[in-house]
Amino acid sequence: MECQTGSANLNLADCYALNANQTVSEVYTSPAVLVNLLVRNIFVVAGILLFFLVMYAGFLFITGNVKGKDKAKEVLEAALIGFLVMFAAFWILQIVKVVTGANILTGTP
Amino acid sequence: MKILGKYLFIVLVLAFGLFQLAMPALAATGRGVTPGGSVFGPVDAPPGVAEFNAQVNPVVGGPDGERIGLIIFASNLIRIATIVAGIIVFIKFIVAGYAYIFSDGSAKVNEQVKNQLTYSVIGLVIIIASYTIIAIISLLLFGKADFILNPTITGPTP
Repeated sequence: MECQTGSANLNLADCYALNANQTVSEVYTSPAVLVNLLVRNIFVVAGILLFFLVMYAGFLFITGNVKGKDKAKEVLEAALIGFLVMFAAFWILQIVKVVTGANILTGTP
Repeated sequence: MKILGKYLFIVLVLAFGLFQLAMPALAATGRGVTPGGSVFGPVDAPPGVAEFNAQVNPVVGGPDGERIGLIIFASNLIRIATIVAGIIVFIKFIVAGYAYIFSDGSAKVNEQVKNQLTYSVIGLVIIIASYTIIAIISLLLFGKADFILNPTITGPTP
């Protein structure tokens, strides 16, 4: 789509350049594109955080003795539960979708 | 948390400002895309970052000249952390040995030293095994053992 400056049906997404040969409207055709993009990469970031939290728990064990043991267990549990919730988020939505019949994932009404 | 929020705000303001900066220039060209792609011009990586980037991009300006060297940096951090953990445990063992020697058979000190040694070893095992733990978790959840250990970030068109 051309950027129609001065016309009534001006779409700003046609005017913003994403890079040399793409405009914003050519790539981000719907909000779902952005959501998918974020979700894909959030899982990578969460995985790296999980890795560091496991190492942190190990350090708590080493440096904290008996007190550190409880703290380390807490950290490990919290990290794992958080990761599982992230992982199950889509399935929870799918279950809600099946149970209630509300069309919340495909985007088509 | 408060400080994090402040930094996030600054970053957001900067990002928004850049968009504002780019807008009039883009709108002026009639068709949205400016030739050359950017009003801003190329931004070079700072010295340390450039060095890490060069390690993941063996070919300068090659087809994958956009790869990010952060993973090398993270690997270095993890390696150093492992070494530090080993040294801490080593020192703890020596200290525990001295405590044993000077304990005169006191049951309380024995118990203390026992706990100290056990938890040190458990901690070290967790740190060393963290690679394996993470690999198992990612194999279980993502079906790929290196999903977390060899992370790849993707753009809007994967």
